[in-house]
Amino acid sequence: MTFAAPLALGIAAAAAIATIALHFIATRRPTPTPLPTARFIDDLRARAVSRAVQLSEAWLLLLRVVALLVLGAGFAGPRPEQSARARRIWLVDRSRAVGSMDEVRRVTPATGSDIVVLFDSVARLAAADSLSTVQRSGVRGSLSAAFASALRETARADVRAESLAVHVVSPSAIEEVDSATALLAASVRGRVQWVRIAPAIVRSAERRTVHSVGAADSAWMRKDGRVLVLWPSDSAPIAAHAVFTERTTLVAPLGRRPVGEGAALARWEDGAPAVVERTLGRGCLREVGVRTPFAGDVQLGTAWRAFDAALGAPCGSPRFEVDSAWTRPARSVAPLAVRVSSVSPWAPWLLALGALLLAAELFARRRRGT
Amino acid sequence: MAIGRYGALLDAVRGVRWPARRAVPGGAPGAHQARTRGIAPEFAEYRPYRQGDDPRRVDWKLLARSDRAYIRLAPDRAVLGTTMVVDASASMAFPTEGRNKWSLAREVAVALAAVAHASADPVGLVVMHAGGMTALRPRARRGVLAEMALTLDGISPAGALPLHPALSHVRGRLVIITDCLGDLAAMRRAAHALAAQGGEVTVVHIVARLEVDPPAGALLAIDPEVPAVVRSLTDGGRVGYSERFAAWRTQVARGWRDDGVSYVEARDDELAERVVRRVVHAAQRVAGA
Repeated sequence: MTFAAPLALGIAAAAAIATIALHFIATRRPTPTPLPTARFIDDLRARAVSRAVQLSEAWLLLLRVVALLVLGAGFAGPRPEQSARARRIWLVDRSRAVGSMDEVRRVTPATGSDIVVLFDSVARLAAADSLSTVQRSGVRGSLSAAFASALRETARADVRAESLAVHVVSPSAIEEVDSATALLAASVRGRVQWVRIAPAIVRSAERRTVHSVGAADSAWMRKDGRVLVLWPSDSAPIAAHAVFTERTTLVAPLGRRPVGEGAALARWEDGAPAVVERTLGRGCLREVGVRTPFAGDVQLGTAWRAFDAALGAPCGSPRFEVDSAWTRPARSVAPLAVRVSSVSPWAPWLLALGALLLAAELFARRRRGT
Repeated sequence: MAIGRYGALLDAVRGVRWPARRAVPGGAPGAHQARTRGIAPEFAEYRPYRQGDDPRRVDWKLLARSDRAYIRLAPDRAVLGTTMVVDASASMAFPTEGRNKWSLAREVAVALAAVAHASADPVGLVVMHAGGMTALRPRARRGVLAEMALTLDGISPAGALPLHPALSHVRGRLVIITDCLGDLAAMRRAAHALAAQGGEVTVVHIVARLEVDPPAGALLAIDPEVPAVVRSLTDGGRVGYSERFAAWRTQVARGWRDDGVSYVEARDDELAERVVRRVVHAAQRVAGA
């Protein structure tokens, strides 16, 4: 048998011991008895106390002790041993946001009986021993996909919620969180424990803005992952356009210029590339087809700032901002202990019995008083 | 009927005679020797004829022999009003379980009234209790005993009302049934005044067995009439308590007797008829002397 709160049992035992002691102490004080000739008793002995130490009202004491112990057992929440089967589900991040897979392996002590789910943009069930060989993928991660997989696996595992623990090993980067993540995480039965690992380190890139590329710019760009941002120099008609990057969407009066070949970093509303990136040496050239009007407040908005930040991101890498709302302090995962957080099946009966015994004690005490 | 519970007791005291300790004042014909002379067949003495005497009471034979007119006198007998003054203070309810002092006091009062009533004496009752004073004037009619029993049965001892105010309006024979734990000094003064006026006063001192011999073990005793008096009676203090209580009882008995009062101590476990016989016996001794 296991107890959800063994402390309650200890408290009840202490209260029972105190009750027994009180019953012994109570016999030291004689109860007032009417005696018309009390005036003939020596007044000097008015404070005398009987030294006889003997158990008084054993049946009442027994009732009280049993009531206390039963109530303590009820609050302790006993459970039969055979129902305490525990399962662990590991949601292991292998997306591009993960800083080091070695850290992932170190904080994931999965065993053969555990369920391991590897996820990046999709989640896949994996064997526990496959963690030693898994590598980081270059795609964006999705915590929603991981939790959806966890929901599926918990339903398949057929264990009670109090015996289930879901460990999420992830840096919890912003790009991994979407609007469904919170709802899916709340839907997972059992206890969700976050094990935060360090995100991938993203260095700020050295950036230069030009309107035409010369030899010197080309030479500068080829070193140390530098970013050369090429803005259009000629004019273009201004109209209402939308430009969206991976993280933001800019809607403003803009001029639209065609761009050359390259990996699209931003696109127009019709899907045409607005910003393309071409790798040259160790750096990259980002050709921008977006022209801002000469007058206006477009560049004062947050969307523009996010667009500008995307232009300054390191070559070939997204920015990983760790979501503080989804992270927890990193801690090692101890072997899972079964914790019963819900009501024990025996607790209501024990509490009811305890209440009944207390009522009987009250009745007996009143009867003794009369 | 209220007298029913006292039936066995009244049967036990039937035939008991309770004479007055001294000649009673004249009055209605009764069983007690009166201070006056009457015309009973029993001869007592002669008295010279005076103007106004009934000529039929002249002893004509003596007149013929001595040529002097004498009146033939006989001892007169009269009734003696008897009043029971019963203490119904809280201390009379001791012990709280079983037969207590109040039980014995009720039985003694009814039994003594029955003995007096059997001699055609008027009997009355005064009870001092928490609700005040309940009094029945002395009467000789048939239902007076039942009325007394009903009154006594309807009273529960409580409070600590003084008993001496009840003595100021009583004449004739007075029986005080009390545990003497109340206004003892004032009672003695009032009783002494009654005795000095020629009244006949008897005190039945009710003592509980548990007062003489309290239960063993430590006891926190509280005076039911004076709750401020709370004393702890231990095995070590039991001897001193017994000595003080015995000395007090001796002093009380001597004090009553010095005041000219007939004193009888009765235990609550004693039969009421025995107490009645002791009271009557004391009176018979005095009357016989």
